[in-house]
Amino acid sequence: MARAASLDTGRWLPTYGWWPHPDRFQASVMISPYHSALESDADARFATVVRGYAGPGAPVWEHDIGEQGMGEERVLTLSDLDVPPPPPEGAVVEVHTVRLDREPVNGVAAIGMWIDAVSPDGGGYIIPTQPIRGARKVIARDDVQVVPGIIATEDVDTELLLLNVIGEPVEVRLVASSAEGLTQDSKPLTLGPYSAWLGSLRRTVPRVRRLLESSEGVGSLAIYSNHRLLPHFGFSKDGGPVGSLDHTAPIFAN
Amino acid sequence: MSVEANVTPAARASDELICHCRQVTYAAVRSAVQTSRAGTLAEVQRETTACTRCFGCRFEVEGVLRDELGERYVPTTVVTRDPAAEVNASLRSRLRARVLGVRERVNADPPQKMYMPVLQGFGGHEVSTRLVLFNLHDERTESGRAVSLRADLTRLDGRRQDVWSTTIAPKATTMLEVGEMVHDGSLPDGIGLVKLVLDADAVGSLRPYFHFTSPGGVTSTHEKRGPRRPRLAAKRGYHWIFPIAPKPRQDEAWFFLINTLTTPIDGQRLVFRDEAGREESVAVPRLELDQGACIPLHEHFADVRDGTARGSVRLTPSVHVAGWIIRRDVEVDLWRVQHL
Repeated sequence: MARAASLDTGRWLPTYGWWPHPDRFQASVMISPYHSALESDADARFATVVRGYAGPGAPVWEHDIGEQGMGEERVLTLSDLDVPPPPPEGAVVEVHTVRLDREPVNGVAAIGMWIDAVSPDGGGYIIPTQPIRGARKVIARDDVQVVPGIIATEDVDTELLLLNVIGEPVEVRLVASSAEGLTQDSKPLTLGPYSAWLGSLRRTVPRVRRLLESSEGVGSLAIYSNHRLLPHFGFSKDGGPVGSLDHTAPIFAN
Repeated sequence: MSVEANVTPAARASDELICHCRQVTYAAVRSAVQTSRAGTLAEVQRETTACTRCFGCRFEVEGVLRDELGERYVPTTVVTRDPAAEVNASLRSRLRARVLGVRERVNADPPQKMYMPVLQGFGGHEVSTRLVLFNLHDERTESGRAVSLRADLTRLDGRRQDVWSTTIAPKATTMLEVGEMVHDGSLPDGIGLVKLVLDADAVGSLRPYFHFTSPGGVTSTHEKRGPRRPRLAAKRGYHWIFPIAPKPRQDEAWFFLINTLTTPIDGQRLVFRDEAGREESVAVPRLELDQGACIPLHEHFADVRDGTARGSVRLTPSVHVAGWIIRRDVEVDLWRVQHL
């Protein structure tokens, strides 16, 4: 049962994922100690709070998973919570796991978990939640990420999901590129704080099918933003369900 | 260049390359073995410099040794860079560059390899694999560097079936339909892997993803890199896991993994544990460097098969692998793939 939010601060930072509308996907947050500790860490103890955001301000719901010892698996199916659904494009889910038996080794850290989602008509995705800060890999640039392998053909479209998990609006520009490196820009987009944007590549980048037609409809996409963004992408065929979602590739520091 | 399936090393043309990194021919390796200068992989490395960079020709070199020596050949299980071979490779590389008057291109350091799974008619299904390689060109930090690479298509047992080389200009995207590299019977069960070997030491601006395409749709995720120092069995502080929530439809699930270390993976298991603490497990086959396995979880774990699983499958003891989660919705033939 969801209850009022109370945000904690500490050296273990939260991670984020998509909170899809339940008509589209049944999403479960998968909380496993094995994703951040070894079997031999018998004394490891964790506590997790899952929160839903649908716009600026405080989260609209919070669910306390409670403490977990090593080996205790938890599955939280969001549609089982007694909470109002997010907008049709979905919203943001925050998974905040902390280790109770120790602090992060270096400064701050984030413990990522997973979201496993299925669609009633066969689509679905399984993807780790991502931090904004505290990631293991150092990112050199936080203003651009790329999608190698976008598709825009008559029957297959690329679905883009952009998550803004900070408390300010984020300006976004999409630049599609053909196999030869020719480019086509979208109009600028603005994502409100703590919100999701879901859209079709064909509808967002004008003439993208024509841009990519010389390479069988396949190319790449750069996503520019004035603040760090969590973009994802997937494909739908003939307007059917999205087969999977993956995150885009940042530019790492090495 | 194409490596035809089911052609034994003895049948290779003498001028055909066996080691693409060091530009060593089959004839050079065969000669070293026939003249008793080399009877082991390490001795072939030392005598010819073959198999001293990415180890992609390891199983072909062993094939020559087996052809020439028969039962006298004792295969090795750990592939390493022989120190003397490294010195030889460096000297020969410099000499070749000086004689040809060109910049030395062959790097003595091991490249960081990138791995991807390949499904090409896997299990009799209409599924194919496309590699998508984007040279992103970070305009703030780079002036625009072309990336040259080689893609090795191998079977799960590590035997190389084909080789494809390309150079990708800055900002360009290059595609490779793996089906064009697959010859009849070259990928048993329609499954294998691709290993990318870059000319450069660092991966830099290259971003490889891949698509699985089936009648139901397209799914995509990215490659996994091997460790920078594959000789070291890097200690990990956590397990690779495959989380599994209940599914309302029939769904198949595979754990695909590749050994990226020079030492074999041996004795690992996949353990499914649910919310109630119940466990089941299945053994992972022994895997040497660059060998892979695709383990059908729905065949081993009843809850996964029934769609009632609530928990995760972990690889234990923890070890560095390149790994992916692969799922298939049976009703609409829609695949889903995600890197670990």
